[in-house]
Amino acid sequence: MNANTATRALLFAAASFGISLCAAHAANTRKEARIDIAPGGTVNIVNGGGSITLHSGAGHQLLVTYTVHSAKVEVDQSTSANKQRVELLTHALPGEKPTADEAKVDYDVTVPTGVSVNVTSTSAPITAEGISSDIGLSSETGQITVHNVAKSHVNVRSMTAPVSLKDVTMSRVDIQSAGGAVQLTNVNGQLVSVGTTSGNIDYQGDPSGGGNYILTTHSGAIDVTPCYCVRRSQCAIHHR
Amino acid sequence: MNCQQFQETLPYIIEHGGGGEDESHLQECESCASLVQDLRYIAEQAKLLLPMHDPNPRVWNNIEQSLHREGLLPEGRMPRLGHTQKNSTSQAQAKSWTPLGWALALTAVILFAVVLTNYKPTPLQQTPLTAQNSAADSAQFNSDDQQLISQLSQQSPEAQRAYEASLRDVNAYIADAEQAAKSDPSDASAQALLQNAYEQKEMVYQMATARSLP
Repeated sequence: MNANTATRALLFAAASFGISLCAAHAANTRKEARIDIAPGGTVNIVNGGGSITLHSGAGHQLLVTYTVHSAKVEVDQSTSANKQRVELLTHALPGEKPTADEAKVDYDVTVPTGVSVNVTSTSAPITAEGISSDIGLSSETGQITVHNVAKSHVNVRSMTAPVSLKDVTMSRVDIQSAGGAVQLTNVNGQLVSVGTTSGNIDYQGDPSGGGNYILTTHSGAIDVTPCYCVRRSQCAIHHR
Repeated sequence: MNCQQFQETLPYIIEHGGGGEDESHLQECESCASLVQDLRYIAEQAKLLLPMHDPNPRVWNNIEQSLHREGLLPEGRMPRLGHTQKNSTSQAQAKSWTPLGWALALTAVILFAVVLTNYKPTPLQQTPLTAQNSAADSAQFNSDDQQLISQLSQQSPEAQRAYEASLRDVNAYIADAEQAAKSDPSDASAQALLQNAYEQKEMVYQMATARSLP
């Protein structure tokens, strides 16, 4: 083997390594987008697996960051002409049949105040933090978590996904879960309605401010722990 | 003859022409004359719309049989005027339906043979208990449920199992809630439970139909 052939072989190996690196990088593609949305508009997110995290933000733009884990899926985004509705839809590319892992997309969305959010997921856990507008969350198996929400309408649908709401105040809460457990901590408002078929319902909070609290289950257990706040940040459990 | 008597014989008049009394009434009564004129015109135009083929005698026989069965035609009444019946109804039927019956029987035998040829018995991996469960499942699920489960099985076996379990629970919920509501229809909470049970099932269906990715 002469020196020329050796150099060529080395170059070929280096090129192959580079291509492999690029392919690996392409498999985990992170993208960021700022999307204009009108005040009072709605963002709809449909995702199979992965995760979806929602935060509250200011301004009139959605800040969307998503990471795609394979080249077999992509995210379509569309906005209606009046900017009242934004759609983010994860879907497989034509002819591709991604596995559950390959189909995962991780979303992180910052939602301006007053913009409603609807999320539909299959197995992706959904977390909504500090959102100050109406929220509709639906998941088959992915954990649904809602924290620090006020004066909102929270609508949750779950098949077997566990549902956890904490510090959701002065809101209208409607949760339906077939088999997922529902845990409510410091949740209050004019209507708090939870219905499950077999999922347990656990309520800890202070319902003394008024409103209707309807907890219904067929074969699950209902556990209510009323907390009467002595001070703003202190909660004393009177009885269980 | 007054108008009512005349109109009772109107079908006969239209088909065969009237007698002396009918003709004299037609000359006296402008209303009936106009009616007969209109009906004759309609009958003439209707003939132009239809192909001039007399239907197969079997058609008339079947119609006659149906009318007999329903009691609209008394026994022994002649069939359609002008239609010559060569065979009795039963003979005609026997002759016409026997080949069809043989053909159907032959088709059934061929189909059975095809099914038998392609039948591959699945190995018995299920325990007797799961077999019993499967039988119970089919009783628990209505046709819509079974269709939904079948569609989900093509997407993902895991989803199929999850939805089966959920539907089984929800159907049990509905059955219990229905029983409670029936036993005391005035019980508002029983009604609310029933409504909630149906909402749960609606939700499960909505989720199943919204599935897009594995």
